[in-house]
This record gives sequence, structure tokens and C-alpha cells, in this order.
Amino acid sequence: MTFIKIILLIATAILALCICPFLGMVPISPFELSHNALQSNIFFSLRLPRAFTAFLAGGGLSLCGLVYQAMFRNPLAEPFTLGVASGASCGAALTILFGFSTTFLGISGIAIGAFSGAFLAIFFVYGFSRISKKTDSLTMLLAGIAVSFMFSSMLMFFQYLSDMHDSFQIVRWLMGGLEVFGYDTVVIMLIFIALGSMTIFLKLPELDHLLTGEDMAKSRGVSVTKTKAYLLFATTLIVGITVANCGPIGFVGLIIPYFTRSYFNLNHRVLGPMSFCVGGIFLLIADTFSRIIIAPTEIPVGVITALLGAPFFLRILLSNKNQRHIDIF
Amino acid sequence: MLIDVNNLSFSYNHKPILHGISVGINEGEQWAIIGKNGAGKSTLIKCLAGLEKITSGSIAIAGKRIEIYHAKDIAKLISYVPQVSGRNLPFSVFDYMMMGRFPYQGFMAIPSAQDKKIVRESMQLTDTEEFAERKMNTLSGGELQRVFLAGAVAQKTPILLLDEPTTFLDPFHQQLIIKTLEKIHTEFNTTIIAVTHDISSVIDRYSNILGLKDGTILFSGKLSKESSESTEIYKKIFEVDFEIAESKNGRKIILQKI
Repeated sequence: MTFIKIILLIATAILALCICPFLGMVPISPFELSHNALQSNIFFSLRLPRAFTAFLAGGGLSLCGLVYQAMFRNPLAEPFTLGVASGASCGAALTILFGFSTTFLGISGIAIGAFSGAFLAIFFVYGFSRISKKTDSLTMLLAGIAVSFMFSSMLMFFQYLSDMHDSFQIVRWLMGGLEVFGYDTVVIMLIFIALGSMTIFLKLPELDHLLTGEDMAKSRGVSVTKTKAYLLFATTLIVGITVANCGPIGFVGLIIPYFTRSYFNLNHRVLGPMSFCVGGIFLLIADTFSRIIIAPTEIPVGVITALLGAPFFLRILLSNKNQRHIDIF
Repeated sequence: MLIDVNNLSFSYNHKPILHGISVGINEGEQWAIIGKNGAGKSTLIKCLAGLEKITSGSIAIAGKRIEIYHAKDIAKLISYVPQVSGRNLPFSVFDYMMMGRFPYQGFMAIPSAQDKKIVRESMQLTDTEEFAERKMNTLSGGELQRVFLAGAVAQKTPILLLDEPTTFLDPFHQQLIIKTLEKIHTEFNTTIIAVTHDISSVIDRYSNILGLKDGTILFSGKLSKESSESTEIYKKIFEVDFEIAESKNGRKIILQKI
């Protein structure tokens, strides 16, 4: 049964990756790709890299959500809980404000700013928990929320200081978007996300243990502090590069792991790759919607994920109201 | 000596919880830790499990200091069953028990045939086979405690630590847990250390008693139901009066005076 579900899911992922790039404002027929220069150009340098970006971003964010939910034993934890999103946003806003726009290794200045901001936020939270010698989940979660608020108000301050043009650019960045041209972004995201995901995949059995509580995990032979440090680093790598290139796309990292848990209800060895797949499919479809709903205008994908996601999430909550898969401790 | 605790102290946020704890525990002994709430029983058992960083003194397991062991190596020596809590775990009972095999597993903790065999055996020993396919979050408190115990058995350790294994259970499940502990002890000669509030039967069920008061040891060793020394020690530990009663068929029991 589980095996069939897994096969079905992988098939859906491949199918979505094959079909979605053909849909859009300019309809592209698979039969004309080889002899229509305009269509093949749109397809190969815009649609296809964009589909990959969406899949990677969605998969990465939902895998990180899965990790955070197990690590903090809290269904409300998501990739941005530890202030990563607001840290990244703050970094992006700063680079926009100071007009720092040189590119480095194919990454834009804004992306570098965002990536640094994400790491700074995690560095604060983790550093705090190490210095205060309180590495328990609840303290880290609360510290993350505090750091998140701190960066958010700094962001508001920067926006207040900036002129109309910069301010609009910041707002647009905050809404998130998956517009890419060519494969530079895809390759860089692939490297970071593959590196982060591999690290996480190796630690998936430990996530099962962390979910039973830190004391239990320790008594079963899990090096809790080390594992958490690995996981934090790996997730920041993924979330950082995603936010840097696509903006803070909300909701994916919250609802997809929850959905995957209730659908598969299995240990993390299976849940990890499955969450990645489901998240990838979800963001790919959401992005396709965002391109075609009121074409030629594109709706920011962050708007679509929440609009699509929220009712769907409420539906899941209704259907298994007595069976929550992680308790708020 | 299997467990050698020497002048152990533990403070939490500069507040001393345990101080001057010294005790030696031999292989195959069954120890009950008793004391008032807040006496430091749970903390002591967590220190013995290597879950807390002790402030001073030392704990040696099988002749080696506990903090020197690698995480997986200490998990091959000591298993720990915490107090039952209403945790909603998403695993099936079988998967949960398999997690007890973690210290023996390598890459990605993929279960071997040997692991599966040991888990099945642990289920048989603890009478939990009927739950194997059920989800943890459908179990009652008593069933959950048995599954926790089975998970610890699957860990195959010479030392088993339990924090109030019977406190929240009905007499039926209490009996079941006690019987299972006895089975584990006779089968593997496991050293069992349990925090318990089951005062009336503690002398029958455990070979040694450790009485804690305000973070120090008030008594450690064997107690007898025959002498009034026991009630004196109980009185010191709990600050209420006890008496020895005898039932019609000659069974002696220590009771709290009302």
C-alpha cells in the first residue's frame, strides 16, 4: 500500500515536471518544439528552468519544515520559525537600499544579502542557545520568534527610510517569485539544496528519535546536540538559498509536511523524500496557476500558495481532528 | 561493580538538586529509589542514564566514566523508560520498538533480520505482540507503558532504568508491569533501578532500597518487613508515620498510619 503510494507520488512529480512547462500565456505544443524557434526558446530558457526552480524551492522548503517540526516537536514550526525569512528579507532590503547589485558567481547582490541575513538569524538563535546553555527545543523556538520580530522591525525601519522605488522593490521581493532566466540559478540552487538534503537524509532516522523527546533520543544513543547542529546548518543552507532566489515563499513548509505526515503516517526515512516530492509538486502547480490565472499578468507565487494552501489545510485539519501527528509539547 | 556513583552532585541553575550521592550497584541487583516529591529521584535516574551533566563527582559504568562513552555505546549498556506522558507519537508500535535497536544499527538505521528477530522476542517477553500493528496514539496509558518497556527490552542492555513505571496505572496494569520486570530480570539478569511510590510492596519487589531526602541519601541497602527499623527509616524519608500490619494469612505489609 505504502509502496504504491510512493510510486504514484514519484510518477506525479515527473508528470508535473513534464506538463507544467507547456502551460502558460504562450501555449507551447510538444510537437512544435523542435521546429519553432520562439517556442523552443521560451520553453528551454524560461519555462523549464522555472519549473525546476519551483520544484527545488518547494521540495527544499517542505523538507526543512518536516525537519523543524520533528526537531521542535511542534506542528507550528516551519522553515521560517527561527527568523530565517525575516533575516533574509532584512538582508535583501539592505542590499536594495544601498543599491548593491553586483553579481557574484551568477548570484545577484540581493540574493547574497538575503543569504547572509538568513545565516545571521540562525547564528543569533543558535549562539544564544549555546551561550545560555539552553539548547532545549522550546527555548530555541522562542529565541527564533524573538529574532524574527527583531529583524521584522528592522525591515520596517529600512522600508520607512527608503524612497518609493526602493520600497516597491522590497515589497515585490517579499511577495516571492520564481522568475528565472537560463540555468545559472537552477544550478546554484541544485548544488545547495542537494548538499543540504543529503545531510538531512542521512539524519532522518534521528528525526524519529527526536520526535519522541530529547531524553529518549539520548537514551537510544542519538548524539542530540550534534544532530541538531547538523540539521540546523543543512536547513539554513536550503532555506537560505531558496529565500535568496525566490523570496520568502510562505506556507509550503508548514502545510506540506503536515499533509505528508497525515497521508503517509510513517517514519522519517520515507517521509523525508516524500515531503520533498509533495512540496515540489505543490509549488510547481501553484506557480503554473500564478502564471495562467490572469495572464499576461503574473500573480506573485506567495499569494497563490497561501490562497490555495489555506483552505486545503483547513480541510485536512477537519478530516483528522482527533489525530494530530505531533503534539504541541 | 556495575554502577559506581561517587560523591555525585548536581545543580540546576545554581540550585543544588543532588549532593554527596555515593552508591555501588552490582550486576543483577534490583534497586528501588524512594523519596518525597522533589527529593531528586527523577534527577538521579536521569544522571545514571547519562542524560544530565553532573556538576561534580563521578558515575562509572562497568569501570569507565559515563561521559567518556560514545552516545551509541552507552545506549548499549543502559536503557531508560521515562514517566508515561500523553505523547502523540505517529509511529506504529513495531516501528517504535525497532527504534530501540538504534545503537546497534549503522547507515540510515536500516533494520537487519537480527533486529527484527530481537524486536519480536521483546514483544513476546512483554506480551505486546497484539499491539504490533497499532499506532502509538491509539494505546491506553497502561498499554503505552508496556510498549515503552518493550522498546527498552529490545535495546538489550544490562541496565534498565525506570521512572515511576507503575504510578499512573490501574492494579491490573501495575501487576502486569511488575511481572514483566521480574521476567526480564530472571531471563537476562538485568540490573533494574526504578523510581517508585509503591511503598507498601517495595520491600517485596526490590532487593535494595535507596531512600532520598532533599537530594541526599538517607538510606541505602536492604530493608526487612520483620523489624521496626523499616518503619523508622520510612518515617525519616517521608515525614509521616508507618506501621507493619499482618493479614490473616500471615502476609506482612508496611502501611501508612492514619
